[in-house]
Formats: sequence, structure tokens, C-alpha cells
Amino acid sequence: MSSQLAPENVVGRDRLIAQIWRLLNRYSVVFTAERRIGKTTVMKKMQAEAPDGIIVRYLDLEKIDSPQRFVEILLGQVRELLTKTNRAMGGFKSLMEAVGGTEIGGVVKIPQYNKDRWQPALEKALACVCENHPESTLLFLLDEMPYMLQKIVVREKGEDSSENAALAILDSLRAMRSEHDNLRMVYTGSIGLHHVIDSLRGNEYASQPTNEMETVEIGPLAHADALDLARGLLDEEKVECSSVEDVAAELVTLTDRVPFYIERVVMRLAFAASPVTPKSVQQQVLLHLTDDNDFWEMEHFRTRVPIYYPGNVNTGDRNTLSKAAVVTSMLDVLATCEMAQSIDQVCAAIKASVPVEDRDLVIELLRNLSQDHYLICDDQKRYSFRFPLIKKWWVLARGLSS
Amino acid sequence: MKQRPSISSYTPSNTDPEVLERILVQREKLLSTLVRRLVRSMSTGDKHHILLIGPRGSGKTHFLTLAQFRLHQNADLADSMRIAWLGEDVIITGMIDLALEIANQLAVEYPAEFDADFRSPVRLLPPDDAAEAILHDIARRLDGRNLLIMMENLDRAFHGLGDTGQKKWRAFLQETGKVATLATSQQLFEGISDRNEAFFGFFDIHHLKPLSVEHALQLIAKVAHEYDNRDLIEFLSTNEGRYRVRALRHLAGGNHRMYILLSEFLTRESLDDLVAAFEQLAEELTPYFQERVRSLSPQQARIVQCLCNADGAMTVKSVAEDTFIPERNCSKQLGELKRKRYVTSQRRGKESYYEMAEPLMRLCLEVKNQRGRPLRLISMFLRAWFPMEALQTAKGASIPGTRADLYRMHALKLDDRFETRIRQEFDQDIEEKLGSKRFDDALFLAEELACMDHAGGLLKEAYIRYRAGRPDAALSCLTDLVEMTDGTVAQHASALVNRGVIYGEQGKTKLALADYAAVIKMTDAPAAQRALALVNRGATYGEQGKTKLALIDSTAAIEMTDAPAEQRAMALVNRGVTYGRQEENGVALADFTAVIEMTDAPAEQRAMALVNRGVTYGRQEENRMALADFTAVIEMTDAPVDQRAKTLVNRGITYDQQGRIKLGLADYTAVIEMTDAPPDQRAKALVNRGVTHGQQGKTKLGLADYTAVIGMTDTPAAQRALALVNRGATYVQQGKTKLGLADYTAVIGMPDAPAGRRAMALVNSAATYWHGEEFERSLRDYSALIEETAFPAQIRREAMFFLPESIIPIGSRADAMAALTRAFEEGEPTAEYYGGTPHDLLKVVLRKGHCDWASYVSDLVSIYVKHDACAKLCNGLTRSIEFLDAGDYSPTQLDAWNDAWQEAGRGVEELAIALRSLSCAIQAIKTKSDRPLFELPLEVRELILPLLKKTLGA
Repeated sequence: MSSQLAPENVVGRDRLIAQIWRLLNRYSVVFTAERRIGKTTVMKKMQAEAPDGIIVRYLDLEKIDSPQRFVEILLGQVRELLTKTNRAMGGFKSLMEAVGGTEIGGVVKIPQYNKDRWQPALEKALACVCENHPESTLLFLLDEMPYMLQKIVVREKGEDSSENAALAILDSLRAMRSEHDNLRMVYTGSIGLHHVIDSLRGNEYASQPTNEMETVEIGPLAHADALDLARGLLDEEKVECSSVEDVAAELVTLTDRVPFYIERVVMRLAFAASPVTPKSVQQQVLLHLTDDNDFWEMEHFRTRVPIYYPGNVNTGDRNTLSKAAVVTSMLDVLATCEMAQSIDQVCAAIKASVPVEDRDLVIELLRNLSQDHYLICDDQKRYSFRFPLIKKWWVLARGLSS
Repeated sequence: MKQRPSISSYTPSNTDPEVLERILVQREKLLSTLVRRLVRSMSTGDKHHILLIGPRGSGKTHFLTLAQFRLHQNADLADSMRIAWLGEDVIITGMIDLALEIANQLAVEYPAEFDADFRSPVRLLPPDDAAEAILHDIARRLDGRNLLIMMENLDRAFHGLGDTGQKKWRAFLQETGKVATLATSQQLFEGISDRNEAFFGFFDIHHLKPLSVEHALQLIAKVAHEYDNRDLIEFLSTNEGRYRVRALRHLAGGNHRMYILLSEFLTRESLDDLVAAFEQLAEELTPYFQERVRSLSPQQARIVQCLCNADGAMTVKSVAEDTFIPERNCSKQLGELKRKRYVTSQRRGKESYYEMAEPLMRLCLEVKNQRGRPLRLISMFLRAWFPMEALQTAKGASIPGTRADLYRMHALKLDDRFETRIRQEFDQDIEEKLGSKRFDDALFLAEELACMDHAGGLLKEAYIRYRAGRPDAALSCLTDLVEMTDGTVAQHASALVNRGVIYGEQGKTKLALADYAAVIKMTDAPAAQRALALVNRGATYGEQGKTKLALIDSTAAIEMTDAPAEQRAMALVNRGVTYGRQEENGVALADFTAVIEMTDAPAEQRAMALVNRGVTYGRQEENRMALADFTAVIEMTDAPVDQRAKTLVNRGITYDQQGRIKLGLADYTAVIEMTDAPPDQRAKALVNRGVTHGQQGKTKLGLADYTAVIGMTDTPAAQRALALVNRGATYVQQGKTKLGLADYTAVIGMPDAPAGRRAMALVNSAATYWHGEEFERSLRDYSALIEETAFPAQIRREAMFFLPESIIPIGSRADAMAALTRAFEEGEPTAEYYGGTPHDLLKVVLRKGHCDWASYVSDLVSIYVKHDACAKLCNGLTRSIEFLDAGDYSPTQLDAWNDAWQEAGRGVEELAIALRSLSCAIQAIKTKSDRPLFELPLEVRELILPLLKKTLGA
């Protein structure tokens, strides 16, 4: 992000965070959310404003692709968490000796280990820090956890390794959570954790590494909060508006109340011709949606389809079709419908582009698409795009006329 | 002149920031907004990461220097902000260089806070780990403060950092939350524009725009002010000064640095001075440009050399041929050069044309290779700098044989490409100003042009005044030009043709024809102008009905082998239309087809030929062919939008006529949804769609379309009036008479509505009042219509027949009959309306007391008989039976009516059947039985039966 927001300036997340703290009294938590919703912002704010008695460490795992590196950065955090006295007494030194690591200038390194060595090191590090803070709750915010697991799997495949380190990490973390009452974790990431766990299950993994964790969905801002944010940003950027209320209202509507999009549009409005009107907002949003550079990374919604929905489906005539093609066709149908569509309507409509007769498959995919935040389902079991902005982008990017 | 402040063109960071503040142009808003964001970054937890993209010399370092200056000026930031500026010469080969450089900058700037010996603690570590440790130490030492990293050439730094380094740098920025960035780069690069890279979407990117002429003027003026160069300041306010800055733009390419370097030439009047100064600048700049060429790969350097030698832009294919580099490779290298901003490209059709982004780069090759011969670029520049006359008369060149004179001679031999580009820019700027109706600004530009080319400036002025709706002022400019002794033959011819057009529009046909004739006689005028004069004269003859002369002129233009395709195509279209008017459809079709098949005819003419051929086919009822032509125009991607819109409307009408309603509606809708369709065509499409909706009973949709037209701010008056009339009629049909009358009244009061539409509104209004039995008002409207001679004659004559219908209920019989007699006398016996609507006349006669009936009927019969219009009366009499049926007349009254007719019509053969029918019908009403009707022939009986609905319950 070009703008890293200070925790105290985060708008509209207080109630949500209070609810998360309540849950964390007893459970660890998995955050689910569409990308750009502000998961990391919520975590950073939690870290900055943690209640007394809770020690929070934030770990960005996006660039980690090996269990060694994961253990190293965890050790780096553990080092800081061990009290000075403990360090002076050689607590950290003995931990480093136990795991075979070295530390210079605050940077921790461990040798290239196999699972038999790094797994105990991981567990020992967490045990050490938990025991060192018996009166506190230790909370590790593990950002981009599914992404790291996926990269570890990919790397192992490339190295022809059968270590299944991703599973081992999940198992170890779960084991440590159940062993230490004062240890909590938050997993989050832009890839759905369920996809990663499903793919691990495909490798004959039977356990449920997150089934004791609670799930919290982070949604867009409440309407009033989104309006507050929009007004605040317009003021901060000194955007001269025809009517602040009208411009803010248009911003909130067109960005689906997602703070990231609100902020991006306002930053551009700061350079738009004055006075800025609701029409200027429409133009800016459209510019972003159609920009070939795609700095909003909307293309991700399309490119992740084959990753989330791998494999083929049988079309009954000895031919197969990629699951991704079916999903794309379903999204095409729903993107061009004004109203929410029933399962039957979706089944009927996709037949115009893909030869799919399997109703159960369609039901399953609709459910998965909801889990992945593409769709939302109403009380009549009718589906529509969860975010009108993404729907609009899908129509533009796929050249569909609605 | 006061002492010259130091303004460094190459190292703005060495220039006094106060001076940089004063000479800042174009980017005030950008700078203040970004500085505001950086202030926030340095005083709160929010962090901004800003990247400025712009080519060499576009003012990036100037911008950074000012940003730093303003941040330092902010006393509130003294404690919370630290800045590390990594200049453009810093070499980054990995994370360790970046960390060391930041640590070094901080240690130098803030020795009390940052240890100069930052290397010792990390000496034993591998480079990446050492970098990480140094950065951690910096983060720790920052304590509660914030760090702004300013980096020039971020692309190079990222290249050095590599993938791992970039990821680590991003993680550091993200995790510390204390660092903001203000960086620059000459172009977008993979590290930020590839979605798989760590920094994709990270920076708030701003592309620095090149300087416009206006901004260049401001910049030069500000620099001149700094140097206290009063001559230059004064000169910049003159048209000549502005013109020269415009000329500089073609050398400077919108580049700040080059403008400042070149601004020194602006006030040099003597050719000697200018040439000497220019050659000196070329000498000074050469190493700079040579260095830039040396930094390229050998293949790219060859391509640059090739483009420098070229006269204009080149395609990939021609560059490949010249350099012997395989085409695919050449294309890739050109792409790379474009990315590096060495070249620019413009796409025309399937091909891209490449040329040097900085024209001055040609110098570096020329200086080396010319060996004392005049530098071509300087000669080209002189052509644009001095009026042609000045160059020809050697103004400013001292002695023949001097260097300056050598350049003068060289300049005179060059073509006018450079001037043409400046002129094109004038044209574009003027069009842009006209587009936004800034006529005064456009005139300002014309004046600027006039300082170099008086006649050219006058032509432009005339054009602007014409576009501003002041044809008389335009005529005056053109007349001045025609009477001038200077100016080229082409300019004189152009003035005459344009004056002819304006005269023609003013109805001064004789004067127009004289101007066209003058051009046609000018044997030395350009063929294009002579052809245009022939085309226009032909069209004028055509309008006058002088078909033969029109055909002769069109044919003459068509046969001019040296005339441009555009004029020949125009002549062919005109000749085709003339043949068409004479119903010589075969030859007309041949002319249109010839244009359609001309590969070099402009798309506009081909589209026009297709439309006209389509219309001709339509006239011949060859609808399939007509539709094919219309469709061809619609599918022409290069046809002007207005033609395509117009054709869609025409095709819609043709579909409607064929009963293919859906297709017609689709065409109208297509036009309505075309965002760039001309307002008149959109309005037409809306009105037509409204009519179709109305015909299909979809009244609401029809009303919505009419209302849309009425609400459009740019609707032409004719279409708005039509929409109002149609909406009014729809309202009246719905029984909403008040609304309908309001719409008619609006049209009647529209001064700019065409007479025909206002007349229609009056007819409808009068008819509505008549049906509502407000006879005084209907009489008023009909009278107004008849008396206004500007209204179409046919509508007025038709209205004369309606007038008695309004007089009878409220006026005297004599007046009514006089009005009817006048209608017959002024009407055309063959016209449809002749005879009016007698059943309506009889309806109002029946309103009179039955004692008066005989005299009215007698008068009517004698007038209709006299004017041989008995058939109409017969029809009216028969239809009047329905009034008798519905009117609760007593037997006495019925008999009185019958008697009046039988008496008046006795002996009039043409009325016999009608009289018999009337008699039988009255008997049927009286007896309430259909028996009396059996006396009538079957076919007449079937006609009468439906008129007796009430009596017989039929």
C-alpha cells in the first residue's frame, strides 16, 4: 500500500476488534475476508492497542517459503519476548543451543534442517516463551499463513521432498496451542485457508488442524463508518467537493464500503478538477477498474479461479471440462444478472456455455464461491455477487454486456 | 541586469531552493498535495510511499529538492522527521548497498543520533544478514521518529536489489511502520508494474506531464525574471515571443531542462547571433547526448542513429531495413527504447511510427558527422523561427558567404516539415479552444500565428469568427486577405473559396459564384482549391435548379487529374445527387458507386456516397440493397460518427417502413446509446422511437422518449419542437388535453423552432380547442396560422378549410361561407386537403337551430358544387348520419335536416346516393328499425349500418 495507516487512525473497526478480543479469551481464531478488506490493518491495530495482559506479535509470512525461515523469524520474535533477565541468565542462549541456531545483531539463523530438527525447534521456541510469560497471554498474529503453507508445498514439490512440512507446521502449532493455555494465534491471509487444507487433505492428511479455532469474518465497514472515513479522507486531502455529503455517499456506494478502495479513490480525487462531484467519483472508479496497470489487482479475482478450483469435471460424453471453466461460466452468468439467481436458474443459464448437467456440482461450486467471498446467498438460496464493485469489474474485464 | 542567480539545468539540487520555488510551474497542486501527505507521514503513524515517473530533464530532482525544502521549513517536523536522500549517482547492487547508503546519509546528516561506525557490529555477517542488522539498528535508533527515504532512479536501485532484496525491503518498510518514501524513476518498471512482484501496488504513482506551451511560457518568464532579463520578459508577452516558445517546444519536447537551455535564444534577432549561439549549444550538449547513446546496447544505438538520420517518423519495418536488424528483434528493441523514453511512437492503422523523443538528440550525431556543414536541425529551426520573407530577404544575415548566410541558404532549401508541425499544433489548439467555445483564446492564437504569417493568421481568424457565429466578421477578414498584396496564391484562393461559402449561406449567390469563378480562373492556385471552387459552384448551381451548369462543374472537378481524391469524391457525390433529383437513378448510382470504390477517398465521402446510394435504392424500392448500403456505413469503423448515427436513423426508418419494428427500434436505440452521436441524430432517433412506441400502443415509452428529447440541453430546436408536438398529441389522445395544449403552446412560442413545426403546433392546438368546443380559441389559432406568411403554404391552405368549422358556431353564416369560398379559391384542387372535412362542418351546422339548417345547407351545396367538390360533400353528408343517430334529434328536426338536403341537392347528380342514404337513415332512426335501409343497395347499406349504432344497436 502506498499509504500505511497508523493504528489509531483506523476507522470503524473498534466493535469488531472488541468482539475478537472476547473470542481470544478462550479460542484462537481464523480470519476470513475478501482481499483488500483490511485484515492486516485490523491485526496491526490489535497489536498496537492490545489489552493489558496480552502480548501480541505480528508475523508477516508472505515471503516465507521454508519451515526453516518460519522458525527463524519466530525465534527472532521469541528473542524479543524473553525478558532481559532471562536473556542475561542465558535462557535464549540455551534455546539457541538447543535448536542449533546463531544470533548476530538481533538476526537469528538456524541451519538447513530436516523436519526432525526444525519441528522440535519450533515447539521449543513457543514453549520457552509461553513458560517465560506465565501471567500473560501470548498472541501470534500470523498474516498470510495460507500463502506461506502453499509456497512451502510448491517448494517441496520442486525439490521432490516428501516432508509435508506445511502439515507439520499446522500440527505443531495446533499441538502447542492445546499444550499451553496462554498461547493464542490468529491465522489470516488472502488465500482461503480451506483451499490449502483441502489440498493437503488430498495428500492423505486426515487431521483437522484448525477445528478448535473460531472463525471471524471481516466484512466491509458499516455504512456510517464508511461515510465517516470518506468524509475524513476528503477533508484530509483537501478535496474541494460540490457537496461533501453527496461525494462521500457516492464513494461509499461505488466502493462497497471497502476502506482500501475509498482511500485510493480519494487520493486520486485530490488531483481531479474542482469541484469534485459524484460524477468525478464514478469516473475515478471506472478509471481504476479499466486501468491496464490494474493497481487494484482486480485481475486476481480471475487468475485465482483455476488455483482455487483445480481439476476437471466429467461432462458425461467421455469428455472432461476444467472446473475453472464451469466456475467462470457461473460467474459470467451471475455478473450479467441484475437479480439474485436460484440454483435452478444458474444450472439452466450455464448450459449455454458449458455442457454441465450435474446439479450437485453446481450446488457445490456455488457454496465454494460463497466461501471464497465471490458470492452471497440470500434466505431463498439465491446467489448474487457479494461485492457490486467486483461484479462490475468482472463484467468489464470479461467483456460481458449486462 | 542584476547578478545572475545560479540555476543549474542539470543539478537542481545545487540550486537555491528559494529560486526553485519561484520558478516552479505546472506542478504546484501536485507538490503541495504530496508534501501534505509526507508531512502526515512524518508526524503520524500513516506512511505514504510516492513514486514520480518522468523522463530525463522533466523536473524530478527539482520536485524532490522542493519537497525536501518544504518539509525542512516545517518546524513541527524538526523532532519527528529524519531524511535520507539517496541521489541519482548512488549505486545499489544489493540490500547491503541500500542499508549502507541510508546509514551513511543519516550518520552524516544526524551524527548525534546515528553512529558513523555502523559497519563494525555486522562485519562478520554475510551481506544480506548485515543489511538486515543495519536496518534494524536504524529502526531502533529512529526511536519515535520517522524516516523519509528519497530515492532517485528507483528503477536502477530495484534492479540492483533483485527479487530477494526487494522482498526484504518491502518487509522492512511494512514491519517498521516508520519509513515513508519519495522516489523517482524515468519509467514504469517490472518491480512495480508486475503483479507478482513485492512492490506491485505499493507506490502511489504520479506521471509527470510534459510542459504545455502555456507552462513553458510561465517557466521561461520566471527564469527570465530571476535573471532580471527584462527584454525577454517583455518579448514573451508579444505574439512573436509566444510563437517562438511554441517553436522551441518542437526542439525541447516538453522538457523543462531543454526549455531553460533554449530560452536564451528567444530574444536573438540577428541570424548571426542565433546561429553562433545555437552552434555553441550544440557543441555543449553533444557530450551529454553522446553519453546517453553510449549507455545503450549496440543494437539500440544503431536504431537511435537511424531515427536521428530520418526526416520523420519510421515504421518498424523501415528501421529494420535500414539497420539490417531482424524485424522481430528490431521491434523488441524499439519497445525497449520507448520504455526508456528515447523514442515515442504513434499508431496509425496497423503500423506504429517511431521517432526520437528528444529532437535535440539528433545534434549529437550531426555535430560529429557534418564536418563544418550546416546542422540540419538548426536550419529547420531557422525556418520556423523567421518569417519566410525575412529568410528570403536575408534579414539579419550580414555578409554573403558567412556561416549565418550558409545556414540561411540551407534553411531555404529545406521542406516545410517543421513549420507544418507547428501549424498543425496551432490547428489542434484552436480546435480545442473552439470545442470549449473559448473564442477569444482562439483569436489570441490566430494573432500569434499572424506575427509569422499575416495571411495565415487572417485565414484562421476568419475561421474562428465564422465558428463563433459571426459570419460578417469572418467575411471582413477574408475580404482583407483577398485585397492584400502579400500572402500566397493558395491563401488567396482559400480566402475566396471560404468567402464564397459564407456568401452562399447568406443567400448572396451572385457574390458566391463570383468568388468561386475567380478561383477557378486562377491557373496558379493549388488544384485542391480550384477543385473545391468547382464543387461549390456546382452545388450552388444545383440549388438554383441550374442542373446543366451544376453537372458541368461537377464533371470538371471529377476530371481534374491533379485534384485531391477528397474533392473528386465530393464532386461525384454532388453529381450523383443532381442526377438523382432528375430521377436519372442509373447514372446517380454509378457516381455513388465510383466514390464507394475509390480507395483513396476520405471515409466521410465514402460514407456519404453509401448513404445516398442507399436512399436511391430505397426510392427504387430496392430495400434490400438500400439496407445493405446503410449497414455498410454503420459498420465502417472510420466513418464519421455523425454519418453513422444518421445512417442508423435512416436504416431504422427503412426497417419501420418494412414493418420490421424490432430492428427499427434497435437502430434508434443504438443511436440513443451512442455517447458521441450528434445531438440532432440522437434527438431524431428518440423522436422516431417514440413514434414507433406510440404506434405499438406503448404510450408510456413513447412519452418517455419525447420527454428525453425535450429535456436534452443540446437538442436542436427542430427536434425539440417535434418532440413537443408529438408529446402533445399523445397527451391529447390520452385525454390529458391541458398537458397537450401546454406542449403545443410551448412550440408556438419557440422563436427558433422551424416554421413548419410551429404551424403543426398551431393546427394541433386549434383542432384540440375545436374538439373541446372552445371555438374562439380554435378560431384564433387557425387565423394566426393562415395570416402568417412564413408558415408553409400547404398547411395554411389546409387550415383555411378548417376555419369555417370554427366560425359557424360563433360567427355569421356569411363569414363562414366567405371563409369557405376563400379556402376553395386559394386551395389547390388536386391536393388531398381540397374540400376540407365536410362532416365536421356539418357537425357544427347541426349545432345551429333547425330553422337555420336549410340556408346553411343550401350555401354549402352551392359552394361545393361550384368548386366541383361534391364527392367530398357526399362523403361528409353520409358520415353526418352518425351525428343524427347519436344526437337525440326530434322527428321534426330530423325531417328538417332531411328536407334541407333534399331541397338543396335536388338535381345534383353526384349527391343522389348520399341524399337517398340520408333519407333512409332518417327513416330508420325514426322507426328504430333497419327496414328502411333495405331500399338501399347492399354495399351502401353496409356503409350506413355502422353509423346507426345507437338506433340499431349494431
